[in-house]
Amino acid sequence: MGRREGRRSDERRREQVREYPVFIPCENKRIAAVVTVPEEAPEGVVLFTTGGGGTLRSQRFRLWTRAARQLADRGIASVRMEFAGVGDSTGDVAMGFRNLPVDDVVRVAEFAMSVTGARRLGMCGNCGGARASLKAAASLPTCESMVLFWLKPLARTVKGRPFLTTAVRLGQRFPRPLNRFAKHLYWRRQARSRRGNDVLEALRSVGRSKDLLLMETRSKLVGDMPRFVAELKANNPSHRIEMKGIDSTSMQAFQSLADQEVAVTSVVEWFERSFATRASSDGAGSGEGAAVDASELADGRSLQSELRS
Amino acid sequence: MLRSLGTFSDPSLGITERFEILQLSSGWTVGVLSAPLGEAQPVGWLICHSFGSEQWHLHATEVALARALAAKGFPVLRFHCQGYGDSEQTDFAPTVTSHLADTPEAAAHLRSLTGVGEIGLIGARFGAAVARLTAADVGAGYLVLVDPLVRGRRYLRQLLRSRAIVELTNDGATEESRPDDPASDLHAVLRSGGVVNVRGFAVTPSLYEAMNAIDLTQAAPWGGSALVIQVSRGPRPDPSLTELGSRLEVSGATVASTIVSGQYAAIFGDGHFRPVEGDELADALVDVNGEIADAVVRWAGERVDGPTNEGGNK
Repeated sequence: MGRREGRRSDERRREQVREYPVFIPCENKRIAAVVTVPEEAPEGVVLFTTGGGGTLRSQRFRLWTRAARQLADRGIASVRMEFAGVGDSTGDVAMGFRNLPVDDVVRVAEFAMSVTGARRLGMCGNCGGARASLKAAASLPTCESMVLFWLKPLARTVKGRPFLTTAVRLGQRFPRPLNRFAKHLYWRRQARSRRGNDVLEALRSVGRSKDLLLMETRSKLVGDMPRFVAELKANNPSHRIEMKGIDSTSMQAFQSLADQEVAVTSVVEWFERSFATRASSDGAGSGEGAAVDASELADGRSLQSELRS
Repeated sequence: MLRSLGTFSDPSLGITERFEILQLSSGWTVGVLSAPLGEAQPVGWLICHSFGSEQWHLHATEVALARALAAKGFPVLRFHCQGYGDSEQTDFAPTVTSHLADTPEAAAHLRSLTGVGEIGLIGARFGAAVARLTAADVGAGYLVLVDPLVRGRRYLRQLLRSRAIVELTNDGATEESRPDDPASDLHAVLRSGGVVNVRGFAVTPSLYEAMNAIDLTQAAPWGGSALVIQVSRGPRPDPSLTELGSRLEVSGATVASTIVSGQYAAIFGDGHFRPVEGDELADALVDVNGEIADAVVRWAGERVDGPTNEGGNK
């Protein structure tokens, strides 16, 4: 998009989209977030989370900011959040695959529905944020659709595995084909073991009731996920379940300019279709009232009434 | 309701923080004003953020500085230059010029929001260069330069080298990382009008030229009070920072310097959330950031209140 065209599009957006940066009370800390709302009553609201690498609410390369504004252009609200101890949030960082900030995600999701008045929830995240969203979705019955980047069921965050480090260093001394074969054996063994089953089980549970778009790289950490997703899709024909490839690895984290565009477009199109499909199928469009009692969060007025006043 | 959630107070820290929407010539953007709950000092601070991915990697440093200074009575404004974070223009590609244009306007917002008589600028890495280059324009009396880039040429060399490392470590997985040009040839690609993807940011020839032209030792004269902080693994002074300090003094500034060192100091400006114990991720630079904040608060306090028994760092 050219600069002038981009500027015109930004001007149009300024008239239609409103953004509210907020500190959401969450136990003894404040979660920093930006609420983006369209001009009209939203069809749904999407909660954006990031991975465990200290990424800010706008996501690397502003992907979530871009997606949030495009969603608002399509009548969908969103909240992009920063985990505790990250960005402008207060509190201490507490993130690990075994200690995901699920409660914070649930709290912010409830807040998002309360302030926007939307009845439909979507969730989008990567790595740790994706796993936290997946677990949180179990206690959020209003969640209808998810886009999850780099779930990588076989991935772990563990410091200092001396045996593995030594093995990798030794492997590098061998001829490349031999080294590759050794790695192949290692990952096949990992995939056949039960590692990653908790992620797949969570996916199985969520896949019964929600649309699922899984964006994964061509990495060994994906394990048997493609086969698993194909089965899940076959067993749940009433929901859209898809798995797409994305070239960047999670370590590169959207560094490819092409992948940045793919990520934003995929997210926007997915939620637009999810909310449009559901709205037309069950005859209930946007939410007119808050699903959660807003008085728990602030002064009891939903954003809908504030926007209309 | 949402507007009321745009602020919070933390009595234990003695600070309040408030989101501010700042109107700049380039469009609106978002800032956070940290302020003391009690009486405020007459000096306010503006934090100038760094370029590209350093903007988010150094955010924790900036938040630590803002909250520590606010706890000592100083109002502090941090903000997103156009093209970053929550700023208005979604498709805007930030440049050296856009950083230098947004900063004085943000400084004007700091004055009007807080009513402070004097202001100081703080920046880390590229943000330090922005602070130094705009200090005279905004009438800043104080300057804190954390691990500053002294010459753009060296900074570019580091950036382009980091791109080469990304290629090697990831086996050339992305399309933009695949060209046959090794790191040493990337300068030639840019000089001949090509665009290079450096860790997800498109470096254009004009950005390359503007970055290359930065040389803080040749910056316009400025006569305030400066603190230069070196962040390194060891205690050995960096000759380029020593030279920068000398040039600042020649231009009329009073300069103090200190060295913050630590195990993870080498990754300052890079990704710093990593597994530190078992399955838990944590901020590996939390101690380094704490030391930087302590040094700045001590130095700023001495400039405003006069020297304390803890002494300076000169």
